[in-house]
Amino acid sequence: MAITDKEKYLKYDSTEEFILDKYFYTWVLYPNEEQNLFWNSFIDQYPGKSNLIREAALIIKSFQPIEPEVPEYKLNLILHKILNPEKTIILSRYRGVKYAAALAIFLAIGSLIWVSVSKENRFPIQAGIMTGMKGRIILANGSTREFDTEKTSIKQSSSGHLTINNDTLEIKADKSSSDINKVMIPYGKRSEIMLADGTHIWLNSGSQLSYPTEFKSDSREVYLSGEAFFDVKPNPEKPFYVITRDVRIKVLGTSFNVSSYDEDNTCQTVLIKGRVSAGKNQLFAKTIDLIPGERMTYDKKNRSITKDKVDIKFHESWISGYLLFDNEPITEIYKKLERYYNKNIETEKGLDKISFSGKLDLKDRLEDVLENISFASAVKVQERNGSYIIKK
Amino acid sequence: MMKGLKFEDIELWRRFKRGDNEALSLIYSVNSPKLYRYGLKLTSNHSIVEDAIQDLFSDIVRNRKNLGDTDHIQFYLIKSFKRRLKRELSNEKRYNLDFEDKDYSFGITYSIEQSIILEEGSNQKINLLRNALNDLTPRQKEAIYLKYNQDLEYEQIAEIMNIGIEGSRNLIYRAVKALKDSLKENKSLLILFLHKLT
Repeated sequence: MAITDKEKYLKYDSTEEFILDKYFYTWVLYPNEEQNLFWNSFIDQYPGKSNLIREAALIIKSFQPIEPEVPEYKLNLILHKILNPEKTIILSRYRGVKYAAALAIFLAIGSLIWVSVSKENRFPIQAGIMTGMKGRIILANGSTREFDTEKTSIKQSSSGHLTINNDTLEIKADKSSSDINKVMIPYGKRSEIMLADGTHIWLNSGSQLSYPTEFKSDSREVYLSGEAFFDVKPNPEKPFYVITRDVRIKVLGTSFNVSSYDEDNTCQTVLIKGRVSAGKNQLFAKTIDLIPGERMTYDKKNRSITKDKVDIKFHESWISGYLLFDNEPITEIYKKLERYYNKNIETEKGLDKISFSGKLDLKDRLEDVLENISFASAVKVQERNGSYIIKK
Repeated sequence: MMKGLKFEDIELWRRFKRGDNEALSLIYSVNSPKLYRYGLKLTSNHSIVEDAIQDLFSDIVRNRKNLGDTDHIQFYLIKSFKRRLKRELSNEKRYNLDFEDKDYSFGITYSIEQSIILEEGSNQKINLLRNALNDLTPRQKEAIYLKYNQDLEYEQIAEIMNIGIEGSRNLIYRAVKALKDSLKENKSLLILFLHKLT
């Protein structure tokens, strides 16, 4: 937004004008970085407007209704009927079993589309695009580099140089384009990223990170989907924010682990040392402070935030190539292994009641890791067409 | 951003009209939950809402070659969906009510306690706002919902609600003003609260 727009809003002298303004209410309901920048600087510049803005934001938020649960399976069935107006009758009469199977597959595809669409809000990282076996970085100028290494090291310098493993690229800054780089690490791979300010990030399998090539504004913001361990370079003048789809974490020089996979039901932040405060990724959201050894968990279903104490060694071990578990449901462990090794692991029902404690070395082959769990937890492993099936 | 979206809508709609079922699935999965939620505010009868969604999409699939272009799929669907819902509701004897009637209700429950955190508004303010929200007329509630939750423009709201553009503007303006005025009664508290924040 240009300066002329600030002049437009300077003329607003009632709460109503702000409430009715589309650019304003879009910011309140779906804030993004660009809008935050605009409105924060507007409020800084014209503090006299801040009361109007707060009141307007409060009223806009009050419009949020409690929405009824939408039964997805019913909507999927309706779509099926729409797509197959005649077949429905014939198939269900003569080939019931086949039809049921086809429907099940269809529903699976249907819900895939579903997930990728319904999660598409104004968070800059889109769900469901982690395809392919190669890691990728999409540069600010729009070009893409791919890399195939197990563990990729990426170093961003403030002069615009980017080093991937030992390759240094010189990226010419294009003034009109954004200056955001996006790193995508597929399942089975990992990456270590050094940002221009000296912050060190370990990005785990199946994760994406968006970061600016240079931190120009008065805060440092990166966006994360998946899991990463952060060692943030302290700079009290430029607080560092990690923003996930649901949670925003404010950092004041510290190291911590964030796990926010789209497919998981929670987003977890564990603080190793230093100080962070975290809260929902919403405007004026209430935040809570964490001290080392504390974990904040955001539950996506109830949209609630809870805090508890954890043993930090279980949350930083993956960057050193092993996983530690203490009484963890084995189904959760299999999820982590699926991502790490990029293999399909299916579990029978009822396995979530079995827990595992111990250390798994991620340098081992997946077969051996699964064998270790089976031995300790008395479950059976079968391999079939490159997938693993776990049974009681 | 809005312009980009509209361009996508034009293209997506054309793909659908050419018989592209992937485009149809996409249109359906984005819009059917929105229609469902909107429908449940006009009637509490789930199966009528589901029937209206199925009829709407079956019809546009059957007639896809003859459909016009649209640059706003969601608006096109909501408008047509409401027309059908209205028809199906009046076919059912039990639900024989006319939307244009003064006594239709817009069944919406506001989640004000969840969406506003105590940091932003005191209990007292939240109470005042809740009362004012519940005092809005059904038509005001519907118009506010269409603007802030379905992100539609005044012209579109006017068409969906069968009123003039000025009418839709007024409806929303009066609702917003009523809410603001409800807080004014408590202005002294607000100032006190803002002091605490800064």
